[in-house]
Amino acid sequence: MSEKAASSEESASRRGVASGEENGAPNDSLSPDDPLAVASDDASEIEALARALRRAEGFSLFFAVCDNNAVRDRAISDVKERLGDSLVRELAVREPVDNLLDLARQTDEGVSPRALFVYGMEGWLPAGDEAEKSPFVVNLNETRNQWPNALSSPLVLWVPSHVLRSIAHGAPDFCSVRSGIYAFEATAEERDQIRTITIEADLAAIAGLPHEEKLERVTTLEDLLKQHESLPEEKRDPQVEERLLQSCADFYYVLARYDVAEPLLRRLLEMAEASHGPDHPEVGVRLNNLAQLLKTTNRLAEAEPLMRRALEIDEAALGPEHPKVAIRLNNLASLLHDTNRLAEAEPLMRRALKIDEAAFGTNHPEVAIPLNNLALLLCDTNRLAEAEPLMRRALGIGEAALGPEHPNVAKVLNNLATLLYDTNRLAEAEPLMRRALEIDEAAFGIEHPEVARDLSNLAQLLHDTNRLAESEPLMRRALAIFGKSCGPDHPQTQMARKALDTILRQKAK
Amino acid sequence: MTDKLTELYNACHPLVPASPAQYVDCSRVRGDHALTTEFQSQLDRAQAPHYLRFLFSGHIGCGKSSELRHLAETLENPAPARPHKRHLAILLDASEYLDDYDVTPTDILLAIVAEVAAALREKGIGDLKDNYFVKRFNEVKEFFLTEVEICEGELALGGAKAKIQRLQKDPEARKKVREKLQPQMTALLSEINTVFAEARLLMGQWKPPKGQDAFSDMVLILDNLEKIKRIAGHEEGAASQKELFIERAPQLTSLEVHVIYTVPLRFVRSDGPQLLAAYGTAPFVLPMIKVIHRDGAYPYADGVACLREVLQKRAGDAPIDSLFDADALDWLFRYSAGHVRDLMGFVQQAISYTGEPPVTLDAAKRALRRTVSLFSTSIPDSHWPKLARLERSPQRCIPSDDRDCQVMLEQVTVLEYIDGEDADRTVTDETFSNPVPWYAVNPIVRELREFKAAIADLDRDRPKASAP
Repeated sequence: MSEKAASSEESASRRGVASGEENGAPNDSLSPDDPLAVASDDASEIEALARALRRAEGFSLFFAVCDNNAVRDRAISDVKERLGDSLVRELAVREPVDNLLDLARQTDEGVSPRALFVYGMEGWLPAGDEAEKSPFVVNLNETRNQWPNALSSPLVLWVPSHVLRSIAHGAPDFCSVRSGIYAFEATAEERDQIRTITIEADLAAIAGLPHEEKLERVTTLEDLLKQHESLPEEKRDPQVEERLLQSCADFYYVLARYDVAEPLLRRLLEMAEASHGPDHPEVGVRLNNLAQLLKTTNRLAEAEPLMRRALEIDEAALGPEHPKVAIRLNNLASLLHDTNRLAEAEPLMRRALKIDEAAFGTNHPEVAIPLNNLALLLCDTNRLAEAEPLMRRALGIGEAALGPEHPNVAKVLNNLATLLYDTNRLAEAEPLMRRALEIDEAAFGIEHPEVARDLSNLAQLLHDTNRLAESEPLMRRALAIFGKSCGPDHPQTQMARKALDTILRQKAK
Repeated sequence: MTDKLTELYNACHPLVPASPAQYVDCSRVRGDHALTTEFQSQLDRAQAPHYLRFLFSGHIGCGKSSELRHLAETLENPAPARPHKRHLAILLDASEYLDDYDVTPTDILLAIVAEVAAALREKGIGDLKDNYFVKRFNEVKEFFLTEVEICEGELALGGAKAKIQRLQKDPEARKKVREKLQPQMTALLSEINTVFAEARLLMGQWKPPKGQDAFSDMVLILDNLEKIKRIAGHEEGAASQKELFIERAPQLTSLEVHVIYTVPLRFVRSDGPQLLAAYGTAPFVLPMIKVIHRDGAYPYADGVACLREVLQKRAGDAPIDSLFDADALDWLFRYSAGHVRDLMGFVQQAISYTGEPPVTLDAAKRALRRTVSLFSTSIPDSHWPKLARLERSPQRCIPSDDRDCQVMLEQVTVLEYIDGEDADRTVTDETFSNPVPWYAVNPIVRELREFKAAIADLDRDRPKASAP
């Protein structure tokens, strides 16, 4: 039940990126003095589309162009408001559909609405030329003459401009019978939305969200990512894409969906290599993040070369004494620790400690991390006596620099408790564990996985000291939190379940 | 006062071909040849057993279906003053039967039989009897009928239309039907002529209602045949069009009936000579309504007058000048460039920016705005220099073997015009039905920055004309 302290996980690219303000001007291909140039605004577009829908009898085809879902949702609700009481049927096509006409027929509710709004295709239509040949687009062209018989109300297809282009190319006859194209622009505020939504707190904060909310947030992020990916190449902003990928990866990581997080992290790595070259520190960060995931999934042999490459990059780019190099050394040493190559790990960890002490001074909280990790290494080489003072020093630094209530202090407390536990000083260990639990409950809330780990450690100690009645409710609480925040199949959850079973079995004896 | 704009809005639906009341004869500004006149004069000259093979083509949305409807209407109800005989027009809309991306000649033959039988029944002329096709249908009907329908007994040809159309959306059934029928292609072809013979027999025996003449013969109009993208077993696009219109011409022309085939415009321009060889006739092309002069100058007054008439007919008794500002109308006519369906769409959208008449120039400009964006983002880079070259070409010609130029025709970035007798034609073919077209860059495209840049590039590279 050893708990490894923070190994300086980095969530890269969280810094605010000043992104090139997109030009919202719609007549992108006309200069202002061109005869076709005309000023327009969303309000008049909305009014016009609503007026067209009120006037149109029977089937008519309209395109409403929005390059952003938030804009679309706003425009839809504005148009509906203009139409007042008239019934508008909405069809969100979230799954791939071959024949929209069939779908429109199937979902016909018998009452003829003022209009049928269809949207969501950009989420699954392939990109570029492939979209033109997709069954969806091809069938639009095929069925162009059947729509008036199938649908007695106007049809509005809400699409981003690249989807309209695919329809114009792949279904020219369908597109040519349109009664109008209306377009809605994002406000500056809406353009910022995608930027702000991805700026998140660190992994610990994400981990503290309830499981349901994590799932919800990751779905939103996925949607945004898909939406972004469906944009044509020239409209994709690599910085936005990186942020979305990183946020998605973070969420999947804390959800223990490592299989989903991994390809995202690999894509980020590729993107960094492509845009900065293979030896850029940005690549080092990506390598490190991917390696951390591999380490978490116990693919230590795969993680090691990545960590070594990250270390080499930063050593070469930043110099051997840079604190970032200390982070790389620390992470690599922890990995070697996990592969039981303790002799190899120790000098690296000592180097990390030296760099941090030199860079930050001996009492800086940054120093506490390698100090703590070195102590853990020593524990495992059975040099508990050597380890204890280091651990106590780490605790002292943490308490002094961060305050006695800081969660990092709780981590060291836990580690120290583990050391005491291993040296059979259970009575000394117990109050430390209780303090760690209190700190984490206060810092993360009583439902955080960090709290669950504390609970399970304490329950284990109570179990070992034969206080089963006290142990059981704590382990139950740990299990409940793990189940809720990590899902029922997470290794942590399974371990807690096993431990609880043991306690219950012993109680029954 | 009823809302005249709403009435006009609904009379301008781009999807609906002109009704007989809305139809305007624009032939004087469409190369001075009218489909109806031309076809009827050929029909008058045609002697059995020589049947007309008439190829018809034109831009997407230029009014082909409206013209074919008008022709069908005229064939069935010829003007009393003229000596034409009454013909039964069998107007087959291929897109009601065929899956544009998966067509075999058998599918087309089945569609023809079903349409002929339906037309005979609809006119009350009679039902085709138990011929070869009824037998064939009964062999294959299990593939596309429900069990209930099968139990109802033999499939009458006259009622087969809707059921055969089901095959369009049922690739599995289609496959089975073809497996059964394809080996009998030769028999099908000879038997389909028996169908025509039987139809003529029925028409001969038919007692028309009082005040109607009997039909002397029939004309098969294959509309939307040009929309077929892929013939089964062939590459999509040009290869399939070649297969259908050239390789399969012997079958298509073996039908013993007058036939009008609709052919894609780009194919006409790329493979004209082969078409001429296969069908013995040059295609009749419906050009844009000519609203510009050959040098690009707007307006060509007769053409604009014609567009005014088209719009006025849609507006009914409300004068269009009371509904639109003059500059708004002019704007719509200029930028529609004589493309009727575009004009209808633009008019509709302009009306949507307008609460109370008149529609202003600002509304007209707004109506075009998104089409401008669509053009600017969807024209491939390779097209710009070619568009510029066309703009600067005094002959206003495009190379017939250039794939890009064919795509430009298809995407209506380049529009086709034909001069009438009025204009000084520089080149004329010997046959009247094959006048030489000229081309112009779509006026919307001409305003785009990329186009202007391409023109500037071209002008820079070209040697300046030396001073006299």
